[in-house]
Amino acid sequence: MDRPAASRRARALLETLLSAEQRAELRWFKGFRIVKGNETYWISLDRKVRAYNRKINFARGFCVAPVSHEWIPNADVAITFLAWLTADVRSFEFEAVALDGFFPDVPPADEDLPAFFAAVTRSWGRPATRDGRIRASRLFDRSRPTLPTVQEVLALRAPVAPEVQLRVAGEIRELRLALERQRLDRLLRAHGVEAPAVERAARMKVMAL
Amino acid sequence: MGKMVILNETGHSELAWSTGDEESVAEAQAAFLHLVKENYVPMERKPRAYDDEFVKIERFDPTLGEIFWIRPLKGGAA
Repeated sequence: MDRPAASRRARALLETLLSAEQRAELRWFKGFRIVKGNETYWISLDRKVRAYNRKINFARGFCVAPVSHEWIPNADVAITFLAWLTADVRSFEFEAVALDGFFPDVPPADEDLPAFFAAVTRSWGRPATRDGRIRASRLFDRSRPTLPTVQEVLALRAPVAPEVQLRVAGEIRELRLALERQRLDRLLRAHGVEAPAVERAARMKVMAL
Repeated sequence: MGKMVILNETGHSELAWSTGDEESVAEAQAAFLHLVKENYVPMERKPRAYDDEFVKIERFDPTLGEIFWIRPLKGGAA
């Protein structure tokens, strides 16, 4: 059996194991969530597992893979992670090597987590060229992920229904504004600016962004 | 009626048995032992209302519904 056919069979099997919500996430964001207490694990179809801990607002990635001498489809790898995370999360955490984590500037809401994970994926992964090689200039691009741009999120999950595009664009814009307001508050406090007129003017400027 | 799902390079392969059919149970038992030797980990799939759950098992039980054969994990591998 050729690899595309094997991948299709594996994907079909994976979908039978998921809830309707997880299937929707898989379709739009190429991954799905598993919640274990404060920890939300993200299993993506690129053979990676990431996690976000809501209690301490901390996101991290894992370096872990199934032990196999033969190639297995991405969806089978996802099933392997799914099985280990639901059956024995301690063994998973024991075996997996945690990669560089970070504290997001704005804690993502539960419903935003799929977009959040999809957006930070590129910062954790090494971008490759079309022939599979990694560009030297971007080899160790480990810059801390910030809020994704609308284009970045949409590029990761095209084709996307127009109503979803609009909703995501609105949410990201609100997050950006919240971040700007937070930054402005800190700046004003640092300079001891109390004048409401100055603050109001600055806020108006931010709102106009 | 039970089923084994073995993840492999074809996506997956399946082996079914029936509790009333001794031959198929013996065949499944033999496959179970073989796959354990191959370092696969057997997990029972337990369907739930919203998503499924997997439970690790130690020995073959013909009354189980579905057994998934999962590979062990290795950290630090690419």
